Amino acid sequence: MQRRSFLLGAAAVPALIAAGIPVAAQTRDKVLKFVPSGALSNLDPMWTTADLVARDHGHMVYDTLFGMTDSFEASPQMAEGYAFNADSTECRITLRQGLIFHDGSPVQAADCVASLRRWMAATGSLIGQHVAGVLVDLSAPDAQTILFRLSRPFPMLVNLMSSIVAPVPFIMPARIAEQAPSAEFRDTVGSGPFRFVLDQYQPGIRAVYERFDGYQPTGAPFEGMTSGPKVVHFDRVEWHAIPDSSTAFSALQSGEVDWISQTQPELLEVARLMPDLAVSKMESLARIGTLRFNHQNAPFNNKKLRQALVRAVNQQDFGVATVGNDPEAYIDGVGFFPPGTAMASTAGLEPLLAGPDLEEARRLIAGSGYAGEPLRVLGPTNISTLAAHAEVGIDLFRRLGLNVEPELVDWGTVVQKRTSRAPVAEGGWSVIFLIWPGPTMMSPATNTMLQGAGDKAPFGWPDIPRIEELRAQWFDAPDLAAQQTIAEEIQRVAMDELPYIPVSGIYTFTVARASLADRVVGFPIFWNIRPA
Amino acid sequence: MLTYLLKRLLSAIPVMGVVAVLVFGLLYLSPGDPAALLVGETASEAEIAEVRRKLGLDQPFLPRFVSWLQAVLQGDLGRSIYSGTPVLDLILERLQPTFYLMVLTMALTVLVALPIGVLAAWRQGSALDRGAMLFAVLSFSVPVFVVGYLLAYVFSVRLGWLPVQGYVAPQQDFAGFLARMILPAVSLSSVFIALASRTTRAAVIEVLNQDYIRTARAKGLPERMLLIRHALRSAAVPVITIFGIGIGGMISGAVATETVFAIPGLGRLTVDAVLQRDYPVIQGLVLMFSLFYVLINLAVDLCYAYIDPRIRY
Repeated sequence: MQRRSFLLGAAAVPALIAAGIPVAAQTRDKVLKFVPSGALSNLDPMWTTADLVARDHGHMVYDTLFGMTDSFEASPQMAEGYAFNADSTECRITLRQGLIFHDGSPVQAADCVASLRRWMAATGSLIGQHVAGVLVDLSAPDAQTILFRLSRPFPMLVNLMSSIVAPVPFIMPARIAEQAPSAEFRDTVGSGPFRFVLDQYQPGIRAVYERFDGYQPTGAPFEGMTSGPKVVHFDRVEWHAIPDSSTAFSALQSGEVDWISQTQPELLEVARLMPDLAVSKMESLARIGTLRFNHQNAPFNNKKLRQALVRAVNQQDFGVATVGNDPEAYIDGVGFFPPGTAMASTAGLEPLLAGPDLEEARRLIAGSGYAGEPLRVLGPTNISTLAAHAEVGIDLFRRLGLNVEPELVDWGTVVQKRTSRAPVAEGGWSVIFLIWPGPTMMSPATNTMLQGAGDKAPFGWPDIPRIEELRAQWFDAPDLAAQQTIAEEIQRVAMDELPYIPVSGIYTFTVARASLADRVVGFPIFWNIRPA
Repeated sequence: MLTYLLKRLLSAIPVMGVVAVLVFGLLYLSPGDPAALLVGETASEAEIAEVRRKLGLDQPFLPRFVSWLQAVLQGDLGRSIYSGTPVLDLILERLQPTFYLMVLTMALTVLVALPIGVLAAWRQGSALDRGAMLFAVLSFSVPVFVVGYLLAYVFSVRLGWLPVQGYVAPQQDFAGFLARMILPAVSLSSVFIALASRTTRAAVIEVLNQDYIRTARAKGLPERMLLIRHALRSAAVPVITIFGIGIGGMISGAVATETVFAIPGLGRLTVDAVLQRDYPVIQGLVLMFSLFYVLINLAVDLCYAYIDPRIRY
């Protein structure tokens, strides 16, 4: 660095200070600066389902055959339409004319076929794997037609393809889709409303998107989330990773960014007092907190003990501890499917909805045969919402007289330890508290905690064959009414066997400049939002 | 001197070797599984095992270590499990903000701590001395991140004079660079100013009580010359030691500072890598930090010889 340039810069700072603000407030008429909930460090939306920021990035760059409405129904997006044959074993999807990728090449059915195959094979792709299970053949008879041949009637196919649960079936050029998912993914050509600016990408720090002028919005009506026309009102969107929520909030206050994905409850209260900021729910569905049991170990291999705990759970306690006293921020009366969704009901929820009764819970524990065996609560310290759930749970267990051994570590350690099936005395675990996005929990297709396949089920390994039977029936149900009936039965069985207890329903809030209008509710979505 | 320098540089090789074994071994033994973190909640155990296999995490310690060491010796630190970026590129990209933060912090420390320490020693027991030491105790007692938040609140949110966060390279926009680095450097330097000023004060007081200082005074040497040429130079060895330790400490301080001010430096990279169990990145960072410590110690030793002619290697 030269002495002259150093002095020049040093002289510039007092000048900037004297001039007022210009360091912070820059002119950026058509630029939207956003702080995501985490850093974008992976560009392949199929590489990990753990990374919702990568999913949100996918929605910027890629499009899907079907969008999802606010009422969680499919709406044609890249698709012009679709038709099943008479016995619903063939589904023919027609692409809209004139769709192009960011490199100018036309979107063809072969690209969609390759992308859908990638989705079905992706790690953790619950929906994709289920579709693959009924698939006989997937082909592109011509450039505009995608043909599914199925082993049995499967009317849910289109709805499942509209899912916003990661991994999402994003459409990529076939040359990219034919590559296995990987961290080294760099060819980010899609056909979505934004083009990714790869040469300005700094992994873990900044991601930049520019409006794709070749994008052709669908003519289908906008009915929320990913449905309808995606109209972009900004030339450029920048994502800036700011790991500390206080700093992110200060950056919003000082005008350095326009929108922060989420922040702490105490900062929300400050934001509500500021006329130039607007606080709103990020998503329409509450996130669901769960008390997950380890069914393989004592003491929670004891069904009566699990049932006793239901009478002690106060969902409001978990909600308040996590998101504060704002009654808009949490709900109670949460069952195995998020309230307000198609599968939600009160079937079997009576012990949960009756309100907590610690005395009754203690009596039930005494009658369960529990003999003071230690139970280990595994919880993370570095994710505040999960830490709050774990602390409320630990306190509750102590008040019930259970022999609790808290193990509060960082999330990376929790994720590894929860795979252990060892007894508590040998380092195993008994309970984990988790919080799930509402859309993940709203159907038996994506609610992974509702699986009851024993050793093949996720951590906790509940062995509940009846739930597995019902889930299989649900997939094959002919219509919504039949699905709802099966979902009610699933909930009754779940309340009896308790793969987990739903302990909270909480909302995340987002803060943006009040001058931004028409934000689409659901997750960070950058179409339709515009300067007011 | 040259022989000494070469010997010290050669002695760094076994040190780095021990560090390599330790970092690899500790990570191998530490809890956490990047494969399980990567695949998310919906993956089956078979899928986690498959990802583990793809990442080579299913291999025993020795083959993994040998393969990693061979690559490191060829200058290949591997790739980030999450971003797929070569670790060396990640480190080099993040090195610049941390380097500038440390340079500015050190410059502030020298410019503020040395005069405070010398003046406090010169006027020992005076109001100036007591005030300076009160300031030092306060600075030392308040955590760096608290100082950072307070500075950001006052100068960015309330007064709007400086940006809250971020980094711009000096070659891109020097004024923007300075505007963004002032607050982080001030907050990180607060604790080092306290430490260095107290050490300087103690060392200078000790020197000022020496006979040769009394003789110099008796000969009529001006106080300014006495303090700078004689007292400060003679007191420099412990002060330089503190600065050497301080540079090492700045790396850990940079973690908090870079988080508070969202500076994309090595501190933030370290935190992210540890939380994500991004083993190749952690290993690369620890190796680099170790090399840095070795070089800082060497520089401090060479400074001793330069400042104090009695020290010879």
